[in-house]
Amino acid sequence: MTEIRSDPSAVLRELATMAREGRLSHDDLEELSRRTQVPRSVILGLRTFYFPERVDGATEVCVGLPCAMRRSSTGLPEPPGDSASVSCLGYCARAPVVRRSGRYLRQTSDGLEEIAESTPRFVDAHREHLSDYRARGGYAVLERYLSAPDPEGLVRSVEAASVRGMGGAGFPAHIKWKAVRASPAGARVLLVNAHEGEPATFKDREILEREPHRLLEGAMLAALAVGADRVLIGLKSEYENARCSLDEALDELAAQTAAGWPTGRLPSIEIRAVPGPYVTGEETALMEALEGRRSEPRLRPPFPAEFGLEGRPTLVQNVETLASLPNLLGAEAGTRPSGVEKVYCLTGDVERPGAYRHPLGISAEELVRQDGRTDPRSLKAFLPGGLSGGLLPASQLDLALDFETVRRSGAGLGTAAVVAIGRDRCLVDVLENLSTFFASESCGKCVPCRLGTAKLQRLLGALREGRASEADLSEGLALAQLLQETSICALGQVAGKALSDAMRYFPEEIRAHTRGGCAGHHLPEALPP
Amino acid sequence: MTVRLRLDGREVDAPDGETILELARRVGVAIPSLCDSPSHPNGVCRMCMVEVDDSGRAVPACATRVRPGMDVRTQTAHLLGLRRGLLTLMLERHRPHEPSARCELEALADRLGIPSTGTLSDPMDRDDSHPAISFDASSCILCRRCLVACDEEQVNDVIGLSGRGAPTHIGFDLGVCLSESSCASCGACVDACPTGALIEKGWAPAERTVVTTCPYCGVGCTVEYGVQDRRILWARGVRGGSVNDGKLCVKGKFAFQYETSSDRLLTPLIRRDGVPRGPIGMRPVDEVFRTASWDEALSLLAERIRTIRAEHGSTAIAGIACDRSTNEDIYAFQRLMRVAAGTDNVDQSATLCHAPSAAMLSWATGAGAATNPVGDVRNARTILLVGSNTERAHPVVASNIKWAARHGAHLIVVDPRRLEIGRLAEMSLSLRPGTDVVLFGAMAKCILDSGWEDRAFIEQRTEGFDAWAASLSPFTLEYASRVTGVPADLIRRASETYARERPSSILWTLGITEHENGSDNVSSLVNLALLTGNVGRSGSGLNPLRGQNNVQGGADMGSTPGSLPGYQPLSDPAVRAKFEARWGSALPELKGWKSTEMIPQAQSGRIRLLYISGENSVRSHPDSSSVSDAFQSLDLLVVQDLYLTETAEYADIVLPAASSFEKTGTFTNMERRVQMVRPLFDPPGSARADWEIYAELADRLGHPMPYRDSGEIMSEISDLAPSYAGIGHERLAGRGLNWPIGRGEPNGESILHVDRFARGKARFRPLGWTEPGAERAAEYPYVLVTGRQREQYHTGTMTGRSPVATRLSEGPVVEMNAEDMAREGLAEGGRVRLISPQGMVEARVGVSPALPVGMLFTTFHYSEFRVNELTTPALDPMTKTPAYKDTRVRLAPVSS
Repeated sequence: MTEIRSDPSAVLRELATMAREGRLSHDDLEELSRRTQVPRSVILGLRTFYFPERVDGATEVCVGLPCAMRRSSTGLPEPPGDSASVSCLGYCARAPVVRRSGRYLRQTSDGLEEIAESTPRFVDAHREHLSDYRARGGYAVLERYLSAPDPEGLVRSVEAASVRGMGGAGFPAHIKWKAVRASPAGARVLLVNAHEGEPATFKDREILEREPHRLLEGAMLAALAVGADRVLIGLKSEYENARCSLDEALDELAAQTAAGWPTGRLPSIEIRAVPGPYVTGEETALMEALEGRRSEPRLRPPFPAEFGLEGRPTLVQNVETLASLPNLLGAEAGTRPSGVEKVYCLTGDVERPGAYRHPLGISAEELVRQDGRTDPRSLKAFLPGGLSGGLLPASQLDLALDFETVRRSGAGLGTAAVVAIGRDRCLVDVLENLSTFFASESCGKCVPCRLGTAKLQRLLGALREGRASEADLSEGLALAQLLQETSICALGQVAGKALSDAMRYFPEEIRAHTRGGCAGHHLPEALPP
Repeated sequence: MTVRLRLDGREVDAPDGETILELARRVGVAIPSLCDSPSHPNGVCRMCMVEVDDSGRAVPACATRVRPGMDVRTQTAHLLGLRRGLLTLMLERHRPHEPSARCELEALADRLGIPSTGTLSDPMDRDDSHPAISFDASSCILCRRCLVACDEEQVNDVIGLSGRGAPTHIGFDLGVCLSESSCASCGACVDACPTGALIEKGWAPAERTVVTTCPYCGVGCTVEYGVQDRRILWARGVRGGSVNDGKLCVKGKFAFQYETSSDRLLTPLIRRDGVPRGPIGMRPVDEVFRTASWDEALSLLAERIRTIRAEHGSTAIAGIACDRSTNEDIYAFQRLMRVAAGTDNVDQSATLCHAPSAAMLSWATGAGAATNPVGDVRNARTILLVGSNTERAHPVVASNIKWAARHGAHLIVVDPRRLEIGRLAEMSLSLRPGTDVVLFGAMAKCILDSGWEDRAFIEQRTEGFDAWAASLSPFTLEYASRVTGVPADLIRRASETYARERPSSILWTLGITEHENGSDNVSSLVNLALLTGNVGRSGSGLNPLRGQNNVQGGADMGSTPGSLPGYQPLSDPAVRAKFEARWGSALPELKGWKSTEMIPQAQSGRIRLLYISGENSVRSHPDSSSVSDAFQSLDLLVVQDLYLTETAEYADIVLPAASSFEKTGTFTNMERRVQMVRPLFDPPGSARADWEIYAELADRLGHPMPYRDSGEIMSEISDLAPSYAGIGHERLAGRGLNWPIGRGEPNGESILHVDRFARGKARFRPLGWTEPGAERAAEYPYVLVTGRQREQYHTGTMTGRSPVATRLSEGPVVEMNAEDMAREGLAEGGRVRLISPQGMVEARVGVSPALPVGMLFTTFHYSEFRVNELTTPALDPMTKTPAYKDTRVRLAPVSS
């Protein structure tokens, strides 16, 4: 096992500070190299990956699908000329969103107005305190397992409930837990993946900001189950409000443990702010970022359970997955409602976008009608799992939105971020938006994704403008297949899925574009990166 | 443990842990890969995807290990489709180029029937800034092999990735062009690149290739040369059991043009009557020398040898062997001198550099050579690197050291200068020049006082411990700190790490040997290793990094006064009898002079005839004016070389020699590995292999050496020198052999002194220390140290005739500390006079952050800057090695 003496993650943290302060000139970077003895070429790699050239004080405009859709359907003007495109800012229910000087604003016909729930004051006012959490039964499950440790029982419960990862992969949690437990003992780590980035998804942010103790209890339970004495929360660095909430929650806990509650050995909990684009949310890419390298996914095997953070057996689990554990496990002891609960983020062509908590398995139709206050018959199609779960026709709106049912229908529940697509939407517009996203978010490591997502973007752009032929379309479908089979990680693997699904369900609409465009409603032009 | 599995329907066995790609290569199944690096599956090109068992998903063969009962399919129609899809993607973003013979991508596409897409519509600019390497980003497929080669294998860390996603590209340092970067020009990236995006300028496919041993330094890298007609087109590092494992340095990779320099000597030359000896200056060669036939030249030489011997005795004849020539050449030379000329005045270049290392290692352990192989430093837990600017003098060794440090080894660097390799060091001990004995003595005392020594090793394997331990009492930490300038706690930390974090290896170069007390310096290191049991196992050892490609061989061949081949003493009656019987002649009675002694002996008239083979003595010996003076005093000077060097310009007879690209023979590298040298061409003109010249001369002197080929010479060597027993040209094919052969190791004994030392028990050597040059410090306040640049070699006879090396060199500059420069009122690039008791030279100065106050550093590579005019003639009394690291100078303005 290789051992790297210096702390390379320190250089990345240093770079992040320098980026914030606008100190990334050639001389600044030379000095950093000299001071830390980290090679210039390494600093080049980090700087260009995490902190690409940006105009100071520029407005960052989210071009993620929900924001692009809302911008077009409300006919809002283009943002100012010096803007840069980003995706996703994590406030999709308030689309269309821009960020300027660290503040989150939504575009309205009257200009830009600050998003209330993005202000520190709002977040602070809506954070659940430890006392309130305990009052409604919080930490009771943890107390129970501390006083009577039963890691194997914990694993069994998670297996019995078919808990699936809620960060996008939907992987059965118990398989990971068992694999970590089976690894040779040595400092095992629980890495909480709080690097949310899937467009249309903002559930983790809300959980962290409003219910940090639910996450902390769940994390500690998982740590106990797999024998990890260390919990590391890899938090997206832009989620500053979540950071504050977590810090305060940890302070509250520390005060209580100092006073003697709860009794028992708790794992240490550390928060690390992690910069980085969408791909940094991939579990092995997150570990790369934490270890101070470009966040490019690793080859697997070995899997994190065997060789994870700094080579240690690591359980990587999404915020929501962990936060769902206290309820789930409390249910068993009869103290709380039963079954796995899921937060569904609903966006797109609905009246009331937002995050809605339901027992896992609600149908998309119910979600749209009840929560979104929208007639499902106004829809043509929907994306069940953000941009990575593929596309389903409106005829399948009655599908139960649980992992297995969605998988059997050929799509993926992913983060359960449901994007509703109205009848007047041009599907090729939607596909082009998705392809732009994947092309700009590709880390560039593997040939199929680096070159394939860019090609797919070109192809869909041409298709949208009526410049693509049938042969081009066939090539695109073959490319989607190639991406799915040969990419290293899920980003590349799903990049072409929506196109394949669209061709399966809406072949005529797609094909019509090879004969010269469509009359459908268009999304605004993608801004240059 | 072996694993049995099915590969394309066929049952195969594989060692546990092997990847499917490794297995396929081993059994001859073709799985394509463009990004695979040895021991680094990059896994990014995705070409090697294979189908396994019933899994729906293909897996990358490079990253998937074999499992019992696995069913692997590598050539299905589906996989072919994937490969073609990937190739199409790559080709669309690839600028095809000439010569396409270099491009594995295009070759693969061709094989799979995918047409080239013609030209790229938006190609990126090429980076042609470097004199020898061209980089075309538009041909790059981002396979990352160059990153592995530069950052992981050579650990030069120049190449990085810039950007993200499709615009990602290779960058150098912070994104500068190659010539402005810290590129070491080792060419590893070029050798690794599968598409020729990184390529040698002027590369062309070669008519034929020859694998041989590099002619530059003591590492002895295996090199493959691409040859066309009588030209070397390119050079590549070779893997597979070689010392260098594919790595090269700028010299091995690019500096071979000297071979076809237009000023190669093609015929013997004889000085015209009446033309005095000395530099030719601007005169045409023809004005000073006339060409002659071999017959005339050798007859003349033989006759002069006979007459001078008759008049003054055979002790008036002396010779300096060429340590760049083969073992067979050098063996023939010492036999010529001892038998045909009857003199033991025969020496080699080690006297100028590592003789203290060889002598003190021999004294202490019984073997005067490095104990562990070059690659073994990668197994060390602690590396103590002393007086070695390894990244400049032995880049390939440096790569191994850096690799080890990156992978957790404790690197402790000891040098007065702040060396670049210090960036990977855990501790840097910047001691004052000349204080090594004190530092290492203090480390030894600290280890003993703390109880960190290896008691069992001392008791079972050494002698003389008590006397030595007693001699350590002055070397307290406080004393050492005061004398060396290294903080006491740092000395202590270094001691503890070296003693307790074993195995620990010591590597050193001329920083400690080229002193008046060079032998003592070496012994202080040997003592440390014996004290802590750090000899005789992997990852430990005492390893002098030797300079010339065959200086080890030269010493092995006995081209040293008093030492017959295989280090057998001239004075030993049994040894004498053996050689006299084989050579059919009496051996000289008296032990001869070392090369540095030959100079004053020539000046005083005791030596009258000097035969110098392949040494540029007037440039490389200390105190150059004494050398030219000595040359003037001789009755006859014979110089044998590839060119008319500055030394040859003084000669009466000049003999044209063949280079190492033009003959068959062997070199012995720093780890005692004897390796084949194979010819690429015939010698030009009437130049001849050294041994052929010596043999014919010996014949004319009445002592024929009728070797039919150099292989017969090696047979004779292996008969007479026990350390070379069992070595012969046929057996050396492949990776060569480490002497001594015999303990049952098929490749020879790579690590020495495993169970017992060569002399039985090793001995400690008590040492004393006095401050060097204290009496001269007032008048000559600076210590001038001479050393090396990476792109040049010694007096530049070869590198100075290789344009790539010359273009990459910074030229002659004397480096100074910034404070000293300010005090002397000098600006960067300003000119100044350096004055020593020996002479005066004008120089250009440059600031260096690496130098401490009071120290100057420069090289001896440039004919326009004769630094050895300044160097002190002081010698180490035991080995007569010059104190190149301890010349005292003062500075004076350049007067009008």
